[in-house]
Amino acid sequence: MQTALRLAITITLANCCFGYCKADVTDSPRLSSVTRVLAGGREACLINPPTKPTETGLTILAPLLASLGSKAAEIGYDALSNYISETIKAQESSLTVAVKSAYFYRLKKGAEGKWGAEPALDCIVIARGRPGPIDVLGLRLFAQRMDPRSRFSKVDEKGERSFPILQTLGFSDFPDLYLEFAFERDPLDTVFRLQPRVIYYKQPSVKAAADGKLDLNLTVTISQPGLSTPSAVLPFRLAGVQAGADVPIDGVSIDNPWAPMLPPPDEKFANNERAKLFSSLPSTPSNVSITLEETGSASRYLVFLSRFLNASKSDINNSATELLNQLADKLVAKEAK
Amino acid sequence: MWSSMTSLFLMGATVATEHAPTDFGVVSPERQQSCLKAFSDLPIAFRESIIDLTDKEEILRSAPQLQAYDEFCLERWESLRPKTRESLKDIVGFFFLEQSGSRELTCAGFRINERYVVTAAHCLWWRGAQIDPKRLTFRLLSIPEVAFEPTAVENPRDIDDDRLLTDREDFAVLRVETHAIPLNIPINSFREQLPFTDYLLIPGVNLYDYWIRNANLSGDWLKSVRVNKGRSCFRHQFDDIDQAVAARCVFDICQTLEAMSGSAIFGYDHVRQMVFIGGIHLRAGLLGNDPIIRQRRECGERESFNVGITLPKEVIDLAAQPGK
Repeated sequence: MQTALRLAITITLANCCFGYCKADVTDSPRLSSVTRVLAGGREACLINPPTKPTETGLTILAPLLASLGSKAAEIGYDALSNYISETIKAQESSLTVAVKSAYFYRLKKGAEGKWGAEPALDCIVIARGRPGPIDVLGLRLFAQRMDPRSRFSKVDEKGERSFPILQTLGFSDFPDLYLEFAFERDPLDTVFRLQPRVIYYKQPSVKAAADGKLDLNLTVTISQPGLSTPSAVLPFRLAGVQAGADVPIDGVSIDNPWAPMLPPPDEKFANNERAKLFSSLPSTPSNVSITLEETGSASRYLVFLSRFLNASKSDINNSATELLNQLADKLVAKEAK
Repeated sequence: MWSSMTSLFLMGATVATEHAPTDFGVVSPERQQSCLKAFSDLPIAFRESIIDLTDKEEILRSAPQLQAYDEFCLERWESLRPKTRESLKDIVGFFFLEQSGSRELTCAGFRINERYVVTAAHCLWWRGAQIDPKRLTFRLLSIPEVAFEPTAVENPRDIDDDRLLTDREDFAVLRVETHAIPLNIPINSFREQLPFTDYLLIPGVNLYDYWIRNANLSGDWLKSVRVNKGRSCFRHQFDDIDQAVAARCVFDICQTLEAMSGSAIFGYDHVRQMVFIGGIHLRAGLLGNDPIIRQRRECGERESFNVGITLPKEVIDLAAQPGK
C-alpha cells in the first residue's frame, strides 16, 4: 500500500511540481502566479538572514541519532504520503509542491590540513507572486500599505524606493505569499528544525474560515540521491494565520518539531585525489522536497504530524507527541460530526 | 623599490583617439567581417560561454570552427611590437592546476609587484568548491617553464558560495613570491579608471588551442597566447545602470574566451605615452537564471558584451607596498 501511495506522490509531484494542486480558489484567483523556492545558505533568506553562526568546522563524527533518523524519516515519509494523497482530494485546501537541490554540509580544511564539516543548509524561502518586470512607479504608490515594514523595498539616501528582492524573485508586484525560514540546530548539530523569519501572507489561495484565518502546513523532506528512503522529514505548522500583508511571528501558533541531521561524510573522502585540490567544498548533495498546504481544516496535517512524531519518539518530543495525538483525535472527531 | 622605473610603452597594440581612431595594428574591416562569420559559425555553447569545459570530446569535435575563430578573431602574441611584449611579459601570466598527469589552465592573472598576483576571485572556485590556492601554479610569459606557487589569498572572502560574489568583489590578490623576476614599473601603471574612447588590450590564452594542440608547460603553452585587435575592443557605456555602479563596470566586446578571467585590461595614456592596467576582465555578459547571481552581479546582464571591473583601489594600494 505504501508503494502505491509513493507512486501517487510521484505522479502528484510530476503534475504539480513548482505549482499548485489547487482546490477551492479565492474570489480573485491569480492563475498567472508562480511559486519560487530558494534553499541554501544564509543568503537564501533574502529579507532577514540569520546571523552567521560562530561554529567552526566540526570534527567528522558519526551522528548521534543516525539510526533513529533513518527510521523516523522513512515512517514519516509514509505518513507524509498519506497526508498528501488526502490533501490533494480535499476541497478546502490548496497544496503547493516544489523540489530543489542543495548541499547539506560544507567541508572545510583547517589550518593544520584537518577537514571538518559544517551545516550548509541555512534557509528556505517559499514565495508566490506574479512574474514579470517591475513597475517601480506603481509599486511606490502602494508600498506604504502593502509593505509597511519595508520587507521588499529599500529606501535610498534620496528617499526613493527600489525593490531589489522582488527583482531577485522576478515578481512584478508584492508577493501573495512569502515565507522565510531559517534552520535552527541544537548545540551538538544532531537535530534541526525550522524557525520562521518572515511571514508575509497577502493573498490566500483558498477561502479562509469564518474567522478569516488559515493554517499554513509545511513539510520539508530531505533525500539523498541514490537512497531509497528520505533522510529527514521536517514538519512545520503555522496555525490560525490571518491573511494580510506582514504577519507578526509572535502572534502565530507554531509547531516545529526537531528532525535528526543527516549523517556527515566520513573521513575517507579526504583520500580522494580531487578533494585534495580544494580548501572548502560542498558535500552531501540533497534533494529538498517542499509541500505547503493552505487550509482552513487542521485535522489532516495534525494526524500526519502525530504519526510522524510517533515514528520518531525520543526524549526530545515524547511530550509533544502526546499532546498532538490528543489534539488530532479531538479535531478529527469534531470534523467527523 | 622603484629605483629603475620604466614606463610601459604600447608599441604595437590597439590605440584610438577620441576624434580620429588610429589603427596601430588594428585589424582591417575585411578581417573583422571574417571574424564575425567565424564567431557566428561557432556552436552556441561557445558563443554564449556556456560550454562544459570538462567535455573535451565536444571541444575536439568543434576544433575546425574553433580554429577558424582563432585565425580570424584573435591575434598572436607576436603581433604586438617587440617593445610592448618586452614591457608586458613580466606582468602577464596564467594560473594552472597541475596534478598527477594533468595541467589545467584555469585563469589569467597579473603581477602588481614582486609579491602579489591579481586574478578574478571566481577563479578560486569550481562547482561550489573553493580551490586551495597552494594547488595552483602561476606562470609568467617571460619565463613560462617556471611555476611560481601561491602561498595564500591576501584578501579572502568570507563566503561559502561563489554565487555571492558581487562584480566589485570578484578579484583576488594572491601572495606569490616572484622576486626572481624583478618588476620595475611606476605606480601610475595601476589606475582606477579606463577610458571610453581608446582601444583596450586584454591578453589571454586561447584555451581551445591549448587543448587541441595538447600543449606542454615547458614553454609550448606560450604559442596559445592571444591578444585582441578587434574594432569593438573598447569600453562601452550604458545608461540603464546607476552611475556610481557604472563607473566601476567595464563593458567591452573584445574577443575573449574561457580561462581569460582575471586578465589585466590595459589602456593607453596618450599624454605619458604609456600603457597602464585599469581593469580586470571577469566574465561574459550573460548571467543565467540563478536569482542569487542575478541579484549579486551589479554590473548586470549585458548580452554580447564582456564584463570587467576597474582596478580596485585595494589592489593599487597593495601594488604600492614594497615588493620585498
